[in-house]
Amino acid sequence: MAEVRLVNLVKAFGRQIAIKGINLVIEDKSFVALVGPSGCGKSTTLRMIAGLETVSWGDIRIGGEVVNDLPSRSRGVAMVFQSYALYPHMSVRANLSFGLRISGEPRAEIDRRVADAVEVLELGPYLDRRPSQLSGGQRQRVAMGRAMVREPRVFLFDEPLSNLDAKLRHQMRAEIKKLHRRIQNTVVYVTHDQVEAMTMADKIVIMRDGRIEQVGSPAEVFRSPANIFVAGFIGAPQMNFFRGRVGPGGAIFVDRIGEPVLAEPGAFVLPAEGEEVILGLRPEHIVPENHGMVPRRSVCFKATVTMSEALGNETLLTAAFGGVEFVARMADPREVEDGETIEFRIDSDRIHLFDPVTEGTLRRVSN
Amino acid sequence: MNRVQPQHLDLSAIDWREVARRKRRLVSGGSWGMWLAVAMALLWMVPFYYLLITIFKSPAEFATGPKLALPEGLWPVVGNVSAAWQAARMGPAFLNSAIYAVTGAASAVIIAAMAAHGLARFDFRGRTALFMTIFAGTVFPLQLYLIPLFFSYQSLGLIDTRLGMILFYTAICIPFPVLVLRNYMSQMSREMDEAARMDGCGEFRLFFSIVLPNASSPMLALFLLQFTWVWNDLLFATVLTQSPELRPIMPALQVFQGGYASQSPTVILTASFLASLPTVLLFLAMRRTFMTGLTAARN
Repeated sequence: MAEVRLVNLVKAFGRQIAIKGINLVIEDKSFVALVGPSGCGKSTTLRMIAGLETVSWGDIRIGGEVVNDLPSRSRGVAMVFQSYALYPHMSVRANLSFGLRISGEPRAEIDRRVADAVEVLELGPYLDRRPSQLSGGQRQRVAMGRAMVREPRVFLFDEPLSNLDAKLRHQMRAEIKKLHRRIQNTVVYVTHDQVEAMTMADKIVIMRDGRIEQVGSPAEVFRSPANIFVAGFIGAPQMNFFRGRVGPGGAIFVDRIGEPVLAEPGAFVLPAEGEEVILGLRPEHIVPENHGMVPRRSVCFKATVTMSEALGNETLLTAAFGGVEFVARMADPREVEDGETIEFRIDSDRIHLFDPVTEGTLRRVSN
Repeated sequence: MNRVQPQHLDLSAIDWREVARRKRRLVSGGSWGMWLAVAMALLWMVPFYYLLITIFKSPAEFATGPKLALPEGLWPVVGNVSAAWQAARMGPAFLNSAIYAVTGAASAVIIAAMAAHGLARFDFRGRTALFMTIFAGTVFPLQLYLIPLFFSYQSLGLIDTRLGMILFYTAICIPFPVLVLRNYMSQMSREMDEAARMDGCGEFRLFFSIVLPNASSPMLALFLLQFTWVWNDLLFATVLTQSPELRPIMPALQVFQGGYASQSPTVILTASFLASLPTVLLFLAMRRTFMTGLTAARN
């Protein structure tokens, strides 16, 4: 069993505290993605699990054992680095077997493990090449192979796809996912790319400024973001936010939108009448008239298009009303001129409401 | 909207002479500059030409004929080599030079690599101060060390010993490689070190199995530079050694100098030529590695 448990984990660099006491359970055999903007502490957390950074406070437990003071090699973890970190002076074969050779594994065992990795990752034709003779994707596979042969309890990935082009990234995403299904290890995967996190992970951990903002499945963090930060971070283009006020009967009034938005009954814990709230709407839930499904319950308003970005299958419209800008997705697109006024429909069943002070969600916690 | 078709250029219509002319117009700095450079290069080569033709002349031919004329035959070189070899006792001198240059330069570069790895990778208090102290070794003129070194060596009994010479050359050759290798190693991927640590490397294995092989090009270039410096050193070798059995090649050539020296210039030039031959041959043999090493160290 290789459950990873972080208990009150703190990392300080001098007087600067990078990780501010995080608690997280990463279940055995799960694929967990740590996401967040640059400097949020996700890589530092991973490096502490790897044993490349000391733990300033709190504990890291792998398979129930506290590993704070164990060197990397004794933790049963293997890491795939952003730059692949292959040994340039060694062939692919030597890169794969280096760790096993220095730990004194018997020759037959080394050959067996290397052969397994080579077969899974289809590295056969490249065994005698140096890393400089490989493409980015091939190097990435060698880096994964080097981690695999150690048969670790936990796989750590530190932004492994960020140096690849878009097409290869897509392909490697699928390969890593397949690899996880096949070898069934615990995976901790760090990325700043929320698409990677959403498509690969069983569980996403969203971090900001050394703290965990939300932990949940991809669907959970997308559908029920815990706060404005998560709502804005997960989803591209990001969620639109409008200032509104609570009216009678739980209606939300937004300036310059004539009709009130009626939230799904019972879904939110609303503040008192007259109090301010932040209304969040994803671009796909602001539907341009005649482009996309008409929502079951909706509110109409007009806005002027300031920019349109045609993506082929859809167009992203940036529009404004009363000084407020937002982005909407136009399905089945037509050409739109800048300055054109268009009618939009807000899908009332898909709104998010947040407290403007705490920035937390007002959604009722369902049991 | 009209459909716009991309128009393809007929590539067979390209006039390749015009392509070459355009390139020449862009890169050439004018023919005057070129001729000036050629003239300077020729002027620079006159002493080498003088050396090369003189070693093939007999003392008599050199004394009577025009100095820059081509030699009449090639055989006099044998007599010149033989005279030079015996007069300067070049056999033991070559051996001494080889021992000092190889041992001194190699130990210096390996010690410098270890120091550079430490300075580039370990965070410890006083790291910059330590580096600056080592670096100061390259700043002061070397002659400054001569007198204190002589007296310290005298009190330690290291004057006129092989150990003394090797110790001195090793020490004097360390600072410059530290400077170059520290910069080089700072730019090596830290993730590579970390990957090696995760693979189970301790510090020494990391250094010898991962860092050293990846720094071999600049290390080899530095070895060549330091080898040449030790080989060509006259001053320190003259001061720190006295007996002919321990003297390297450069001070050995001093027999040709002074009031009682009576050898012909053909023999003296032959001795100089022979003395400089090993460094030239070493450079020619390793020039490719030397150039890649220099480029690697610069980048």
